[in-house]
Amino acid sequence: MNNKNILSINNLSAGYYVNGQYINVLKDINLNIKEGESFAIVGQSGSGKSTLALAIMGLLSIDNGKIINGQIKFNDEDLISKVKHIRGKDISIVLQDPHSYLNPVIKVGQQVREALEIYNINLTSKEINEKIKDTFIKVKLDDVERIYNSYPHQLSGGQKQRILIAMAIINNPKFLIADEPTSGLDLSVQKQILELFVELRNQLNLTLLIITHNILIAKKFSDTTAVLLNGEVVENDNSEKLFFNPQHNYTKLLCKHIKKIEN
Amino acid sequence: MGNNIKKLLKNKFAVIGLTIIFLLIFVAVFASVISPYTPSEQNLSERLLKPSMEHFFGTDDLGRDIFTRMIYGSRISLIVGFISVLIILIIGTFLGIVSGFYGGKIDYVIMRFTDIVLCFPIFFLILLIIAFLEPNIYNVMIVIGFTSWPGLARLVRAEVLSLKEREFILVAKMMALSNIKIFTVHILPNIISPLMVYSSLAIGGAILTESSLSFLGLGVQPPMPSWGQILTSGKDYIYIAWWLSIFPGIAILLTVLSFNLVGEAIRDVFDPKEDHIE
Amino acid sequence: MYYLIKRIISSIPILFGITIITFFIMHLTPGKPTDLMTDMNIKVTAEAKERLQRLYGLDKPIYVQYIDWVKRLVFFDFGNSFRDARPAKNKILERLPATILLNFVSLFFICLIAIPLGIYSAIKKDSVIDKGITIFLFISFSIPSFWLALVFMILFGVQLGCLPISGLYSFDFNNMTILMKLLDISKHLILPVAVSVITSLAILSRYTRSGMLEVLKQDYIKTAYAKGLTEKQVIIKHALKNALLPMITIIGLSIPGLIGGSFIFETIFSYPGIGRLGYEAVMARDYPVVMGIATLTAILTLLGNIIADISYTYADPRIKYK
Repeated sequence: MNNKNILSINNLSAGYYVNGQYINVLKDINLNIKEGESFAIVGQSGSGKSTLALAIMGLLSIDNGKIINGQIKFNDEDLISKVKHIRGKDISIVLQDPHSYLNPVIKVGQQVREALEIYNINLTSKEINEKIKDTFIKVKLDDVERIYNSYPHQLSGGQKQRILIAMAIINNPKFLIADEPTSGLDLSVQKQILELFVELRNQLNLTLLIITHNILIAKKFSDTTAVLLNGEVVENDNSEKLFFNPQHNYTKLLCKHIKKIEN
Repeated sequence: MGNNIKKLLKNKFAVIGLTIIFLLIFVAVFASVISPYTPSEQNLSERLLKPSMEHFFGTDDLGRDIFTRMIYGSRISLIVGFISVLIILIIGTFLGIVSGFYGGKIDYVIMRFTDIVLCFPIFFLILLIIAFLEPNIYNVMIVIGFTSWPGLARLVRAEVLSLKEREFILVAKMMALSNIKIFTVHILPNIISPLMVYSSLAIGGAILTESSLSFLGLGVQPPMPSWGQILTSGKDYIYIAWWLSIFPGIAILLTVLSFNLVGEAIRDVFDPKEDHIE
Repeated sequence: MYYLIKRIISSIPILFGITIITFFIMHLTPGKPTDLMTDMNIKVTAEAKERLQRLYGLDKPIYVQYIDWVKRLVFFDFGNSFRDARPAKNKILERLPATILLNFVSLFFICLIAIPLGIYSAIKKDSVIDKGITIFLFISFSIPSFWLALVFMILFGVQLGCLPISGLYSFDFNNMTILMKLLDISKHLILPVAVSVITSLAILSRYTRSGMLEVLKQDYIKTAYAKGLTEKQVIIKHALKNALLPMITIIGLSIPGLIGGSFIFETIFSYPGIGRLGYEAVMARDYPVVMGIATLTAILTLLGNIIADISYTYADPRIKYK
């Protein structure tokens, strides 16, 4: 892992328009994520962590959101203007809650295929099928044929989550965001999915950004952690260090809470 | 409530609609003062005159001043509109509430009944019932009222069903409030706003129906001056007296449009989860 | 398949309800139904009246009359027209195709225009275009259809003289070639269809708009954008299908409205369909024909709803593959 920053966020402020009024959610965020590392952003609901993920991906406008200030650089190039052209290819996101993030009236296989076809118009049908099969197996969806032809409601929560992951990695992105990857899943499945992310990261050599409310997940699965409170980064450090020696009061609170549960 | 009325008045369309409606009510009430002639005043030497200073909208085939007839016609439209919808409200709300509140067999029977009525083309249903009875203004109001309630009943039932599940009802039940109390205090205030929206749109619809009926000769009978009726004679003289066909139509259009605009505006203000037209 | 059977079975009580209502309406009139027939002809003696009543079974107890009615309904035997003694069934059947043609063509154009309008105004929500479309739809919804028909007649038939304003065929229809015949029918359809379409656009359009807006807020739309799809691709490949599904039901529900409107402007345009037949029959108090049309349209509507329901079941994979 070298020390180059793959993602740099400088003075980022963003928010949403609600009934015509602008409400600021992210306040002057500064973050750097190194190439190849696993980075976690921890915060409670309402802290702005999902907003941050959507801001990076340029998806804020769908919910009437907007970046009002700041810069995001991806490999030293401005991301805010470019993201429309590279999302799904160089930088991908697995959105939370597999139950609502898949189109209910299209077969899941087709939805995965689409992700590949957008950026690979020159592939033959056979090559596409191969790549899809490959990716399904990577995400541990072994019953390829059946799942490819299923509709979302015919699959389990874990299977749907794997489909979303397949969609995100099929173009071998360099940067993958996992927004609350365990929400909506049973406990047993949660562990599998998280381990899958780590495995994929190692296999595909990608930089992983995990968004979570659970500081324990951050400790276990990431190298660096940033803590988000009310739209501001209050602490940002190596995960182990942060967990065992939290500096900010809020971080201390989060860690204490988890330690209690662990014991 | 005051806040909501302010919001309503901000909507330009609502203001236009309300203005026209109040203007209409004013005209209807003060018809005898405003109109230059009387509606049945025939003057056979002045048949089919073009619009002029003496006759703003011209005269019809019996020499009657159309402007006057249209002023008095506003009374018919408004009365039929309001009373038919009143009947629909009474029947539809009652059945909708009973159906939603009690559920079970009562619900099944009432809902099947609405299904049946809704299978018939309502306009034709109204047409033939009036034909079998006697075409006059009272039957028009009654028949419109008694054939058009199914839509409202379903709407009210849906509202009641969704309210039934909400917490405050369960709390009230736990407090063992009598059904009637739960009803008037909790359910009724919550259905007022969809009822208002519905009523406004329904009045527009009733006015359209009445004018269609009168146009076909099965509504308000002459010499009562309904706008639809003026258009009937218009039909026979389209080649030579265009004014018989244009003015009443515009009047109906503007009136119905106003009620529709106001209805939509009420929906926007009181039901913010729907989307807006502003 | 199973669903189809269930659906048909649940419609049977409605079918019975239809028969009961039609029966009830017939006996609404003060006096006996046959009075309507005989009152037109003063020369009929009291004796003849009695004979007529016995012929129509009006002297039997009411429940027997009802059973007779239902029995005849199975064969669509509505009796003979009071006006020309021909079987009502035949009169209706010969006019039915014209009305079906008119409503089919209207429905086609309504969908063709209203749905894109709805989708477009959803995408461009709150823009000038959206507001313009909304105003236009409000006006079109508020226009009395018979008045629009009159205005069109004056404009196109009288002033401009370019379109026929009555009937379905021209005088020399039988002498025309197939192509000319098709053209002729089309020319005659333009005005009635235009009136029907304009007055019916609003509802489908608004429902499409709100349906589309709902869909565009859904999470899977975010996924589609995240994959790298352009706005156009997202709308066409992901949003459309979800937004259009409920429209199947809406279209089904608007069929009785279309048929109902037929009664008004078929009359004005002298269009030879069951709308005009129905109006004439009502005016002449020709109750066999009237009840025939009422019953038939109700049954057609019921069928239409069943078809719409089944189509929806097939179209929505969440229901099809349970």
